[in-house]
Amino acid sequence: MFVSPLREPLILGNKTYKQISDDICAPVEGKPTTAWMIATTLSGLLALTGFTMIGLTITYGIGMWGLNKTVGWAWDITNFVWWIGIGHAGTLISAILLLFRQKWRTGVNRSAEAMTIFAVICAGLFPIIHMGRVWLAFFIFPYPNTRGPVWANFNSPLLWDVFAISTYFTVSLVFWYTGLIPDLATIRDRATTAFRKKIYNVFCFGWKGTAKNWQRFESISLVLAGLSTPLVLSVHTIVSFDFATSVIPGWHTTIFPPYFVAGAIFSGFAMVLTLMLVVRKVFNLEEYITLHHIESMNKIIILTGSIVGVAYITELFTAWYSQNQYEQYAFLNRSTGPYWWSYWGMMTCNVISPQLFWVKKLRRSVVFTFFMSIFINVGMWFERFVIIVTSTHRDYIPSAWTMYYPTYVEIFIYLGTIGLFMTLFLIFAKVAPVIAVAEVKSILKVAGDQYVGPNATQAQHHHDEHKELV
Amino acid sequence: MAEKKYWKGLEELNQEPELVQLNQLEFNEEIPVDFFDGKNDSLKSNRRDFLKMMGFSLTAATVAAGCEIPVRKVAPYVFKPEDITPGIATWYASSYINGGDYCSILVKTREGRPIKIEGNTDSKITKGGTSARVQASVLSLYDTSRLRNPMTKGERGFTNASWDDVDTAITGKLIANPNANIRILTSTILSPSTKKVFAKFTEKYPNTKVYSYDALSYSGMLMANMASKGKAEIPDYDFAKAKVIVSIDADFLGTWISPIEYTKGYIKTRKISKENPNMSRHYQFESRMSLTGSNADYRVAVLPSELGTVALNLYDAITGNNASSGLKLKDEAKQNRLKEAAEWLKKHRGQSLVVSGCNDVNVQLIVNAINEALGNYGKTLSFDNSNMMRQGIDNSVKDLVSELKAGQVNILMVHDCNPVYDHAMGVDLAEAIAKAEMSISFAGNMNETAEKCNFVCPDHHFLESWNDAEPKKGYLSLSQPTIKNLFETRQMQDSLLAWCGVMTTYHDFMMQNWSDSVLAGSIDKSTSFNKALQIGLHQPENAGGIALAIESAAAILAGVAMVNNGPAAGTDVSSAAANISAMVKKSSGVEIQFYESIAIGDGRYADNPWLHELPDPVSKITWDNYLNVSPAWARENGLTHGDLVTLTVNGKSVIVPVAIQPGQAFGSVSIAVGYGRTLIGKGGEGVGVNVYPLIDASGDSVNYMASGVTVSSTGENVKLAQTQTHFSLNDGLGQRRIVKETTLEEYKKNPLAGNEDRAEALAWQEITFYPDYFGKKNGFNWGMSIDLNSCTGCGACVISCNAENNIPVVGKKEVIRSHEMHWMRIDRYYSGDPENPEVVYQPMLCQHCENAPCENVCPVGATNHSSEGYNQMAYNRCIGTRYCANNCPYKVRRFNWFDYGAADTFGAMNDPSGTEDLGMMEDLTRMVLNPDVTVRSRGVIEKCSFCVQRIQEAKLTAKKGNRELVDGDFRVACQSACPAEAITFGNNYDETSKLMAEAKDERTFGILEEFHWMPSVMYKTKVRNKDKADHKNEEALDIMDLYNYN
Amino acid sequence: MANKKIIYGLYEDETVLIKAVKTVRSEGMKIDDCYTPFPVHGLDDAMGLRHTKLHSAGFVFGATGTLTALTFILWITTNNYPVNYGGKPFLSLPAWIPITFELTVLFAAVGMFLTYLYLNRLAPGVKPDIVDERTTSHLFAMTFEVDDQTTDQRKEEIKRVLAASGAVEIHEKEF
Repeated sequence: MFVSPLREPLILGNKTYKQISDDICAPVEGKPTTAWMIATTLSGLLALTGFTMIGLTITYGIGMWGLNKTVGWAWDITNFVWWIGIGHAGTLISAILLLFRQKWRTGVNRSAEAMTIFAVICAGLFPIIHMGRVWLAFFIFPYPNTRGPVWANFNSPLLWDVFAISTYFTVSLVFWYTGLIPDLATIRDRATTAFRKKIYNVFCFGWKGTAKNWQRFESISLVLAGLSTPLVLSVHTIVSFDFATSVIPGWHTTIFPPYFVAGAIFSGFAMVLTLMLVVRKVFNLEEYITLHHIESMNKIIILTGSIVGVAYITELFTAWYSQNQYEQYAFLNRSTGPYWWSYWGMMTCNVISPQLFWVKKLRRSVVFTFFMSIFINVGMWFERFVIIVTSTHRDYIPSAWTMYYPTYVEIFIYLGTIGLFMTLFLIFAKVAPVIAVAEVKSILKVAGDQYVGPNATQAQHHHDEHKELV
Repeated sequence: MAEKKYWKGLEELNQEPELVQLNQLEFNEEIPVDFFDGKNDSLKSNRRDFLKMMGFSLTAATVAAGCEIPVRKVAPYVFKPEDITPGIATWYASSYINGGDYCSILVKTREGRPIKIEGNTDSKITKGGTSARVQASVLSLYDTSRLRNPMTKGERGFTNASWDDVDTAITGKLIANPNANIRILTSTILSPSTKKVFAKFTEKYPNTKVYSYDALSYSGMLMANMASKGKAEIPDYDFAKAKVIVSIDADFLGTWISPIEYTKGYIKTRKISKENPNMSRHYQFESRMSLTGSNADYRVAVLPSELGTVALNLYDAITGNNASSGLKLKDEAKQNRLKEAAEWLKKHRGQSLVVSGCNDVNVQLIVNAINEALGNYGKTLSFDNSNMMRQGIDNSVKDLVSELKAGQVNILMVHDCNPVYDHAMGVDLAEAIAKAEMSISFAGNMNETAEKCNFVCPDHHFLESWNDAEPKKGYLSLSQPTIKNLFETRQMQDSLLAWCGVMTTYHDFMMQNWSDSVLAGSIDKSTSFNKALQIGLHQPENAGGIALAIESAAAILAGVAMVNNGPAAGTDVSSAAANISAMVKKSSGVEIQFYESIAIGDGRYADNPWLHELPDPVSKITWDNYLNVSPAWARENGLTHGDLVTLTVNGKSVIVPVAIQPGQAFGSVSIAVGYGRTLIGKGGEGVGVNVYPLIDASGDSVNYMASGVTVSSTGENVKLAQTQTHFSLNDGLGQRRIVKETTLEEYKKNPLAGNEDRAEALAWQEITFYPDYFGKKNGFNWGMSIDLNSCTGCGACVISCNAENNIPVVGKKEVIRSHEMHWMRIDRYYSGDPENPEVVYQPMLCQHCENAPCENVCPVGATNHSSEGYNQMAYNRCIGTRYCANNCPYKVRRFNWFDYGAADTFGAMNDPSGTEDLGMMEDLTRMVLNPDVTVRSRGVIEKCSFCVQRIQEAKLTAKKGNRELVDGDFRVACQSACPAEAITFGNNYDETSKLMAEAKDERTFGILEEFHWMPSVMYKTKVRNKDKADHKNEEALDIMDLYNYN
Repeated sequence: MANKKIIYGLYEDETVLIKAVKTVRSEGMKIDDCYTPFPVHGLDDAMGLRHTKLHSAGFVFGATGTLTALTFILWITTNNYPVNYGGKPFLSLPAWIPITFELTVLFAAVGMFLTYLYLNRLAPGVKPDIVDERTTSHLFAMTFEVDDQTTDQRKEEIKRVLAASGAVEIHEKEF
């Protein structure tokens, strides 16, 4: 394969395979650092608070939230869509980039996939707890019953959601774990204590790593990637159907599917960056998660950010062009109504600020990228809030117009999911390699001629061999 | 004679203690529906009686048990009692009597429980109409704060007593001194027999005087009529005959004397069609935006003090005199409008009506003179069948207080009124009562006055009572018990009879009175009485005759009152005019008007959560009284919606919230009385502020207006529990086509006026690739039509819907959070000048769309489309995602945020932030629940069901009768309650149905039809009888942000 | 099963391994298996392994999913319990596409994963015969199966070939 001489190596510091194993497994094998302990406790407590608030909601009723006769959804579904969006980056990185043979992905895909799974867990929480009668949630599954049997309503986007989300979670999990198995085996074999060996052997399903194993491994990774790509697109498309198929001005918008998918990738990459920038610092993996990674991801952020921006403007155009008073008012109200701040917050964070990444210097600045990634996630939250609340709170019949304000319960449930997410991620980072060990090794030499590491001699040799063979 | 035995039998029955106890929970065998159905002989047989008793006790026991958990338990009858079949409603004709308020009603009882009140179409007065208060009165029967037994006051406050104790104490006192000065203070008494009871009592104790007053007084009018017509009575107004109506601050559609009757008449002149495009023209001169004013074709906002000026100017313009002597309305435009009104009146002599709500004898005298000059007497108003609904004379209370203070009263009896609370002199009275040797109150619930008396002898609720009424001379009406008295209460009349040693029950006394007077001529008296009882009415053609027969009794009360209070005011126009101009000159600064609110009235219903939660038709504010101020005035004085202000009137102050009310005359404020009861049950605790003490009662008639008022902000701001915070259809991009309006002249030119764009909407409906589920057009497809031109916005339908469909009450805190649950709401929109806008009311309920957006999105299919074309909810399938509510364009779906209905499997739970306990969750209150309608649990969506339970019942009845269901077999709750006959319900597939006729009308349109949701509820264009130039509908009303967001 | 004896050589670099595999096979010796820390491209060809049919299995699973979804929904909405939702047709195919697609993916993914585990004999608690613990980290192993019949001379032969092909370590192991 042709390798541009300008391209910098994906892994710095001329590692040997041994070093790679050592570096990446170090955090898993070492004792938990105090920093890790503190972080985990704090996020754990936050998660706990969230669950307490969920308890309140279920005990006393949805009335604990700020919703009302006109605004039936607000923070609950906002958070749901926000988390799902975040989740999408993981699958995207591992699947789409794998299909595109973007080798740089190996540095980040493992933790990105983990992030997906945890994000989907947080997301999945909301559609469940937002129900008035959670204890009857099982009604949504089409199962044979004695009431007719009454099945579900297959026309309802909410039912599509149920299938989309559960499928998405399952497939992501399978994909993630398939990749994790060999790495867990590595840890098992490096383990010093018998107990550790036992545990990790259970989790790595007794992986051996024969040629045939790897052949099948490659095959399934490829097919799963092939499946996940349309899946990740479909999931957010279906989420957008919740709104697109409705009749409420501001919801009933045909460009939602692409617009939501772009938004998802946008926010997802931002979240990946937030996490990776922390991880590479805390676990000193700067040589594996390089500036090159950060820059590539920032480029994708510019792209998706711009797509989202175009979508916003298209909406405005459509409203004007439709000559539909209700549609026009919906957007007038968004930008100038009582919730103007959320609209302009969204515009600033999602459309204007990412454009700064056109500057290479900023693109490659760790600190700037970090703040930007936070910024974007805030903006994307606003986007969902704008769509959900500002559309419903003033729709067709003025007599029903109301305002929505969140209660402490809603706020803490949201923070709680962030806590849950962090807790899960921290635990993951402690028990499993945050970087795909095996895959990283397989790309150690893609920099080809530039590669001058310990395995170089054989590498050269290998090249000669090829010449002979040819 | 059979019925006599029947009664005796029941008395024996009642002596059995455990039965007495059971009876309190349930049932009333007294209802003699089978007096004349030929069963009488069988009643004689002892075996039957034995079985009846056994059956009764058993069923009473089972059902009594059932009442504990009415929703969950089904209690089968072992032996079925005479007139109760489980699951089948029994209806009784009766009369709603509340002070002077009257309505002829039918009471629906289920398993012996009264649960719903409907209008009685046989009545020549109310003609089947009802009001919100009438609808809600059934709830007050189950009020948890009702007194359980008589009480006597000792050192340590009140203690429960038995009737025997009370009777011995009181009769002892009476017999000891038969010549004691006894004073009975009462509100207007409609019942001739009750008056007779008073007469009887007076015979025995000669020094008895009966004083009557009305909390909201019309004595100015009575005195004026005494002066100019020699009759201290209110004439019989016939709005149906009036082509031109000029109302000087008379809220005759909302609260004035007999609003149901007047609405019935009024809307006759508002129902227009191509064939008969004629409408009355209605001018309203008033300072506050009243329900009537909001319905007027022309409304002129004038200061309270200017009302007299209006009357005088009208008088002058019509008679050509100069009584006004240069007195004019300051505003030129208003003065011209006044002239225009006068012109119209002149053009319609004998076909017009001028009414005034002023309690000022002078203004009333002028109004009488105007009607006289127009020759309206004997045509649109007359004294042939005078209206008896207001008889109170204001001086009564004043006299009483002075007598009490002078120690001239030995025994005071207070019946059906609460002067300590609702009279300006209440405070004095409260002290004075102590001066009487003995004071007795007949209050059914402990109230401010009863608390001051030494004896409380609780009266029955009217649904437990026998009574008769003469709301209009010659029109008689009967009340019968629909349930055995729930508690150890006794009817006031029975008490009085007992105390003056008459050994008959009031029921017998009443029947005797009837056979002596009303039925004097009839051969079989018991039969004709039963006939009257069956329809609840006795209104023969030659009304005059009977009236005379009862005159004697009537005289006693009216006479007593009038002797003491001759009309003090000048009896001729000139002196009246002089007084008015004097009054006008006197008035200065900010003026105030005290008014009666649609829901709570004079304060009797301050414990009724249904009524508290009924949004005021105009302001849409619930659970409060508030100071209405005009938008401009508020701006000028730096006040915003909800600001707490100190209101000072006649030297007395209260702190009340401000409500910005478009249409309130600039420079004037107004506030509702009836709130701020201090001694009240859970429902009314701490609701509003009592402003009665601010009213000036020093004159001959209570003056509900005052000038020189000060309003100073306290700097605080509170949230008002308002159900509608946006009131303009103009969103800044133009008028939303949700309500369609036109003017009469345009309508005459083109019946499609204002509705021209409908053709297009219908054309689009042809284009669809959806299947035609209802193509066959056989069977049923239910639909509704609402005539915006008839709807006055009174809110009777809202409460009727509450009662019929077990709609929970959520309380002020929850309403502020926009959690109200009403299935039927009345949207109110303003247009034009904020200082005096045009108003339109639009009843809004589930539109039952054929292509319902809500149905598509429910993941579990809990809401879907019925084969009869309505949108149905399966509550027990609902998991509460609220997706349907979000996707409802009309926002009529309601979610059970908390366990409002106490139906929850987890039991009633109040959230930590504390939803109020309104006494709606007690077993007693829950007896009002309609067993045919599920009580929704927490977390499910609910909404209008088109009263599906009524549809089904009607279908079953038709089936049993082995016939087709025909149009008009049943009426849905809102339809039957509506006094304006604005709502039509029926079958879209029945070409002959009334609904189809409506649907074909040019004025018919559906809301947001162009979106192809195909609503099943149709509306009819609002037509205003005003010149096109004055029609402000399209004009933007830039006051969207007047109200702080809710 | 009877104890399994193997002789194996450890290599430091995948390229060396691939070369070794080729030479060994060219000398007509039967390699038992190779163990690598990461997928080595070309190794399976060098060893002459068949290409896996796993992805074909995936296709079959997917197709099953599609069929299940469509038939199930069709049966429910048009046959078992047709309900009128918002006036829409009972058979409204466009509305079923999302669920059908999701089920296709779900079946394919889960089905494949399980097959993958089965073929690789992977499951929680499986006790694998680990040739050399370093093969999951940084070393590459090539193994030859031997048994009691195998003559020492034959064993020596194997070791010689391994050494010649660049193995850094050569061991005998018995499980």
